[in-house]
Amino acid sequence: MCATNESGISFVWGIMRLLEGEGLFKSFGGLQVIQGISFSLDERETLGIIGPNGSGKTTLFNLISGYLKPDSGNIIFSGKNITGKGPSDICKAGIARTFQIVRPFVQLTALDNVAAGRSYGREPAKTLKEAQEEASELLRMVGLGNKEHIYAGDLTLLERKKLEIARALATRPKLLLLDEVFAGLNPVEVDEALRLISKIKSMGITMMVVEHVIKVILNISDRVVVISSGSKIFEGPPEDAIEDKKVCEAYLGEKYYA
Amino acid sequence: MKARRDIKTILILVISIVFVGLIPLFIKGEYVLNMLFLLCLYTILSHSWNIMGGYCGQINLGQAAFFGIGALTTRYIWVAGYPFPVALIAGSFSSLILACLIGIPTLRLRAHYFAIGTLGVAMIALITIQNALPGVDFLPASLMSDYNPTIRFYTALIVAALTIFAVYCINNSRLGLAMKCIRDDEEAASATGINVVRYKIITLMLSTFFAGLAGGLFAYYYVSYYYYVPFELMWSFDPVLIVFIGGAGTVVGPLIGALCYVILKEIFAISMGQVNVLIFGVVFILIVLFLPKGLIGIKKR
Ligand SMILES: Nc1ncnc2c1ncn2[C@@H]1O[C@H](COP(=O)(O)OP(=O)(O)OP(=O)(O)O)[C@@H](O)[C@H]1O
Ligand SMILES: [Mg+2]
Repeated sequence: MCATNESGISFVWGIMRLLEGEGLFKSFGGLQVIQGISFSLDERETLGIIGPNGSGKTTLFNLISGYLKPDSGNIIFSGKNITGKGPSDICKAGIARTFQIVRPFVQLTALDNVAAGRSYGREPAKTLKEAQEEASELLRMVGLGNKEHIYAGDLTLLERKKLEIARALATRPKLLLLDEVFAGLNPVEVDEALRLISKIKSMGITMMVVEHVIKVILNISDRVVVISSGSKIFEGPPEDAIEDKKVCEAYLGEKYYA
Repeated sequence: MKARRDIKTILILVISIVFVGLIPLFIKGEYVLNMLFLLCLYTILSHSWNIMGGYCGQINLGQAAFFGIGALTTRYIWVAGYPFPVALIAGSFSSLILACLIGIPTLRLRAHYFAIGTLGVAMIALITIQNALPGVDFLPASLMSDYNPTIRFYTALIVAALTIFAVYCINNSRLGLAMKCIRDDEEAASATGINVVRYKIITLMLSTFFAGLAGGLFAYYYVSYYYYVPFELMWSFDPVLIVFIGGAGTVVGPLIGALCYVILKEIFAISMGQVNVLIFGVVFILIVLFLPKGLIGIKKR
């Protein structure tokens, strides 16, 4: 079913498979947080991940981006097994992430925040000057063109989120993991952020998006995976997810049946 | 805007170095030379601490061990008959090697534990030297005959200028950026592809190299001292104080800090003896509380 060409990229029925998680388990002490999740992601696809609070979404991201090692299971990226690699190696391989609670470099300017990604990610810039020039372009793209010399610590939440996206994009990712970019934003800001994500999607970057805001998930995902208590309970088109009975009980139930 | 600020910084640095270099031509006397030498020595030592502490955010309290080993090795090789520059470089590399042996394992410790671990290294080094080499290190007569503090001061000035230049280059490089990212947020740094452990090791090696240079200059300038003196813990704490007075993570800050420190110490040490330690403790607390960015932060505000 799966063939691998010379460049190590595996094809499944002609579609390029970018990421694959096989039987992932993770526990903290006695707490089973990820219980045998398998998933896959094709190139240029946007996969939405939803699930109630504490269901293991961020933990799944931490496994993929190398912040945590799975107890068992494998993560295959571009045909290579990256399980157990450290975060910086995984970033260099082409997976970038943002953090649920933003983590900009607060004592650096917006420009240097993004230049850091350009200096050390995939295909890094050779000099700081080169990195800063490309960083400047990226800042303009996310709408922070006039904030280059502002310290990240002085930016608003929306600006910090945009900055973190720009920093992630600066590492030239093949896959971008976004963890609740929209949380804490007002409706106007949500629309603005949505436009940005659509723009990134149109650039051809594959994305995995954790999100609570249903509107966002319906809007941008090609496919949705629903996680509940560390297990996958649904996978399919986003429209079907909100109809699914199990999903409603586990997740939407909180809101709709309350 | 940025380019103009860079030129201004370079100008300030060049003018201050030249100015310090001119002073002995107009004011003669060993007293002035001693003060100016200390200014250079503290500039180098505090910049060495600044690289690791100010730029990379790793509080290293083991600097005395690296300063001491630099002094010990430089003096040994110099007295053995090698030209001083050879001895100085060898001394710096001995600090760097010590960093690899002892520093790198302690780098696995995080934040406060790293500070305590490195302080432990400095204390062990001090006790070891006190017991192994209890005597006084006299400069042999052959080297005494051409002892000239003026030449020694200018040597220190050149090394200080090179150190400042090196820090300036680091500050404006990809390496410097990685160091600052690690200081701000280690996890975010690794998310941008920075191998945190590797860059901490590189930074520690750079930092200890300059600490070794400072130690070597100490061994070059002072005729005789107890072997343990360059291992004393003040060589760990003084640079921390100086960097915080001037401004951590900046090129100019440690210069300002060193100048203030040399002057204050001269005033307090003469008038109050040992109480000066207490005074510097208070100065440190006040600076951290009210001027967290140091004296240089006043201008930037
Ligand atoms: N490092 C850790 N040590 C112990 N428990 C953890 C750790 N990280 C996460 N957990 C626990 O694992 C469970 C899943 O957490 P996770 O952050 O992955 O959830 P989430 O789906 O991202 O939730 P949210 O929607 O609130 O962000 C929670 O019960 C959490 O308390
Ligand atoms: Mg989460």
